[in-house]
Amino acid sequence: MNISVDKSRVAIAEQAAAWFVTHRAAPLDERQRLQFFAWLKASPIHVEEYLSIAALESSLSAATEDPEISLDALLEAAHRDTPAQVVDLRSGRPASARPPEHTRRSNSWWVGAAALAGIGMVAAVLVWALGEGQWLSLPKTYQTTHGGQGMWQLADGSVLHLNTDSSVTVRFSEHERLVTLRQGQALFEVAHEAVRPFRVNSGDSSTVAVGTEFDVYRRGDATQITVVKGRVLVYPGPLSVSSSASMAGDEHSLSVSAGQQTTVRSGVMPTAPVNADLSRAVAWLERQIVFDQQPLDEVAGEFNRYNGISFEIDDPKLRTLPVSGVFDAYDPASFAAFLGSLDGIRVEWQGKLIRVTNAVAYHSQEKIHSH
Amino acid sequence: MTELKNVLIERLFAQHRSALQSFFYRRIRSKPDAVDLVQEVYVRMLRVNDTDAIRNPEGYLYTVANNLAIEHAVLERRHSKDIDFDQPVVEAELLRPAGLEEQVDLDVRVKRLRDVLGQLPPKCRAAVYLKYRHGMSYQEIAHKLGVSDHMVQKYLGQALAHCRRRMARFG
Repeated sequence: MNISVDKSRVAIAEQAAAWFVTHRAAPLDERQRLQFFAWLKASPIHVEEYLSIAALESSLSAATEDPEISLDALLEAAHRDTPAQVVDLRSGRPASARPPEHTRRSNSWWVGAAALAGIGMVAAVLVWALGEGQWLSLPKTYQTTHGGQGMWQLADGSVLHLNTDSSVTVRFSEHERLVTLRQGQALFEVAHEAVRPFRVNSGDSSTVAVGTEFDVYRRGDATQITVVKGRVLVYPGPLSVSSSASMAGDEHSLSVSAGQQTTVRSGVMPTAPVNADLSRAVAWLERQIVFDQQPLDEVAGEFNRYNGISFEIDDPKLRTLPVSGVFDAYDPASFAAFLGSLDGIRVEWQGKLIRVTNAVAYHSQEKIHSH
Repeated sequence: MTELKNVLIERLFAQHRSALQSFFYRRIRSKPDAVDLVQEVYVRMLRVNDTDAIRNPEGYLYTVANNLAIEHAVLERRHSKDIDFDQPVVEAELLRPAGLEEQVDLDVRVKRLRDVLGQLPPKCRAAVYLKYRHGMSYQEIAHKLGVSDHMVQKYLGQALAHCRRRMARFG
């Protein structure tokens, strides 16, 4: 069982460490200096990781002052080391123990966005969240409140993650495992069962898997399906229980593989899946909102999903303004401060409302102050 | 010139090291407070409009974090004991040798960090010991390991990121 929880944090820790090491190699040139500033300003999580690495580094002298470790032995091991060995050791376990989907990525454990192999390491921590006893055929509903999140293990061993304002009904029978996403967003880590497919119905879509990991996000009449691991079959419209359990697919289905995404609108499916930014799609597991050149109103809408405080943007030009950053989903204040630091944007707190307006319209360069 | 600047950055960091450690020590004690502190550091970084005026953004970041850690300590004392301590007193408090409880935590951290270092691939691990136990420069490490400077930086970056992730629960 694998979990994607750590992915974006790992990527950020790697960026922070790379900057930290670069700073100690030579003074940054003008371009790097601006890049570093921009990186810090893009996210409070970047600031946190950078400071954490700085604090951690100060313990390394004490930790390496270890009489049991001899320099000769370290150097000998380093010289004996071949590139192939490095790959195996980096993943933290022998290559043969890795599920086949991961071998393609075995080189990228350390590399930012594709840090999928890190998934296995947190699995052990999360498995303890055992589900309560569940009758095989009684439907069971799981839901979260506005701003809440939840994780449950289902009777078959699959793990269900629910994002804010979400609700699913789970019904297991001898022939299939049926989940209905009534609203919101859910990520499923499906336990492999060759004879009982795992089916998720959401609006006018049905997604079938045997053993895989995928995210289903229902927004109005559209359902977005993102596959993290393995492969699923997506059907426009709910399937009948008696339909084929085969994963071979047919002319009515669309096969979506790891790293891909598709959106089903009112029963109409696009002809081909598109490549997805996985760390962004599953950032919610870590309570993060990740955006890269996304329109401001879309990003503000994401914050509004989680918080009692909501952003309001009246200016149509501002709504389409592309913005980039990584924020804690429950920290609208930092995002407001970030917006206030951008040229030409004015941010105003009105009780539980954060109004974002065009600064020029107010003939004012006034910046917001937090608190 | 390069060497001098690096020395200055190192020294600046050394000055702030204790405060930064305290800062992150606190975060495991009272996580909500520490999260607020990080947010506040972030907001202050955002307020820098004239990026050009700050030649050393890393040093600036440490200074901001350090000042906030001190301010925070002052506020904490006012709340808990209702005594108005002078800032220098609090600063001295932050820089004082670790107390027994803190020392035990530190020992646990160091022990844990040793285990984490043991998980690193051999070249990566050797680079860490050469840098932090033997104080070698990147060039010297590159020579010792028979790899490029660039690879040394990569190894050390990997090692720091790995330790950070594995130590996250220890503050």
